[in-house]
Amino acid sequence: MFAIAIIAGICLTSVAVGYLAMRKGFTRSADDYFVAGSSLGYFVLIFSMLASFLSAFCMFGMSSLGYRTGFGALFVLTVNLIPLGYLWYFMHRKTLLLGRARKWISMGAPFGERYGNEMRALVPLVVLVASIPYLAAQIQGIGVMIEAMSEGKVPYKLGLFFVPAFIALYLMMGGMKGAAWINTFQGVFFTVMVFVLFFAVMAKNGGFRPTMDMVFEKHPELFQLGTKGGKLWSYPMIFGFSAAMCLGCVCFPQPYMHAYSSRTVKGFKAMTLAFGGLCLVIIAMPTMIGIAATEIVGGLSKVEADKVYGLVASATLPDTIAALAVAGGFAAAMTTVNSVVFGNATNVANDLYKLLRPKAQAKELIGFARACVVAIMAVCVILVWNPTTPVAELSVIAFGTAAITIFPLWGAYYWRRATRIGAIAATLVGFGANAAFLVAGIIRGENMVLSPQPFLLNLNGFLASFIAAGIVFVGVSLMTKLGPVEKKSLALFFHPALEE
Amino acid sequence: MKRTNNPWTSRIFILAFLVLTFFCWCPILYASYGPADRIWGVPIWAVLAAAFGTALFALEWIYLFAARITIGDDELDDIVSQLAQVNTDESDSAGEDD
Repeated sequence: MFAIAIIAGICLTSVAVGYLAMRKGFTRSADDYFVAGSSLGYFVLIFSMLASFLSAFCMFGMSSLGYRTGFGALFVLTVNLIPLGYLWYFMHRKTLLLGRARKWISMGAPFGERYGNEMRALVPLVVLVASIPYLAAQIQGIGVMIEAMSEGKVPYKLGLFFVPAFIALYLMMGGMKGAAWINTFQGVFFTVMVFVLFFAVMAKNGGFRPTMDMVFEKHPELFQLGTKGGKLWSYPMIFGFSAAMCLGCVCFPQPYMHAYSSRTVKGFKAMTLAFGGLCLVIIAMPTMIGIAATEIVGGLSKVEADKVYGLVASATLPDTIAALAVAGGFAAAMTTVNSVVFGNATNVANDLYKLLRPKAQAKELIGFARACVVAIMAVCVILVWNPTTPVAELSVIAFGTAAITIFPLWGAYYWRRATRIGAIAATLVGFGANAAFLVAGIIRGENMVLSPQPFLLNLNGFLASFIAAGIVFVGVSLMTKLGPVEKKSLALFFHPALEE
Repeated sequence: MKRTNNPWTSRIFILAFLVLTFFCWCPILYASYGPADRIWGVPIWAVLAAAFGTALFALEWIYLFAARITIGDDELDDIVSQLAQVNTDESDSAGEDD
């Protein structure tokens, strides 16, 4: 009962914050609703960005991955994200500056100005499709956790409706400002709770080192690379996971939205730097909680292992604190859902709908974006009605697919010779190859997007698609001429004021 | 705060970033398959990965905030106003067909 009260409390508080943002007038204009009027300070930026990425994947998915596969999971969402400090700065410095000057509010805007309307529509579409498995993973995690926290009183399928409905409500009311405030509040909450659970789990067996020694005695494979005949955590597999997650982070809607929303350059730089460092500390915790949980909760596999975070909390903490700890993971999932849904709804409204109705006014765009929030939520709920793939794997597939848009983005900002045809071809080839590996993997009964494939020189499907997209982008751009749109855009995108 | 315009400073940073990124993305040069020695209960390769990550984080902090290479708030208004003066008819293609 207490667990259900906490969930209800988080949902109602979030709705209240969204309502407050609306009443304060932060959703009146399109600029206010979509990018918070470029008014977010660095503390809100850092925690909003952190919370928008740290998700059910981080809490439930990473503890599950640590539980099933061991320390190699540290290369999925911790140390491999440190490069984002400079990658985000390089890739989104011009997003911040040009976005401020040109009043951009969606991620299609830079592609539209640089390459034309086809790319303005194509990139948000690809990212929307790529986001769906990621969102579905969060909602699946929420459903699983609500069922576990309520000890079955709230069934999985009821949980799927309950929380997305609240998220849709506060997003529709509060816009970017409301979402950022809620993210910050929930981000601080889940950060504190993951520390509480980590120390409780380690204390259960006499401290960190004794716990790890116990795990090592029974499960030495969790401390090794290249287990299962060299297939699990092989070097190509680690590189594939690391690159997919890190580069995917560059290409998801959140960095665009937060760059547009940043009040200062210092805040933007602090956000890009802090993210990787905080991930290294915060996400290592659930990963090691999962590893330690093998000594506390045994016998879970595949999708069942996604429950390990909740089960180990119940086994190591008093009921009320355990409920709070799991609610931290639940809050993390909520923040990611709201950010990704909001980012995609913004893109669909401002890039796709605006192309179809160029004279649409702010009120119409905001209304359409609100409808998109509901539609995206509904699609995700339908997709995870019967869960079959663990949260972690779903998320990595999504990040890998989004990552292929990094070439058109890099070309837009740093390569004068980049052409519209090259950008379109690279996006279609990268996306098509990822989709082909996904479908072929389903038919063959193995995950070809994530697992290294001998016929691809031991690269996984993501890396092969990524490399193909890069080659196509450079090759086709060199073979085609700059069109009028690209020529016109050079004056803006390569303005001397942007040089460093 | 005036920025340093020496391109070699940036190049050295970028080279260091790339090397450390490789270490953060793949442990091939400091790990091996099979049993590994442990420090504080954790495999040595995991500790080394965290150490490389920490070094990269420190370098990024220097690059972004201490090396006077990157843009600062004192330049923001000037840059934005210069960009805003670019002839929008010449560059406003987001809403046009080519």
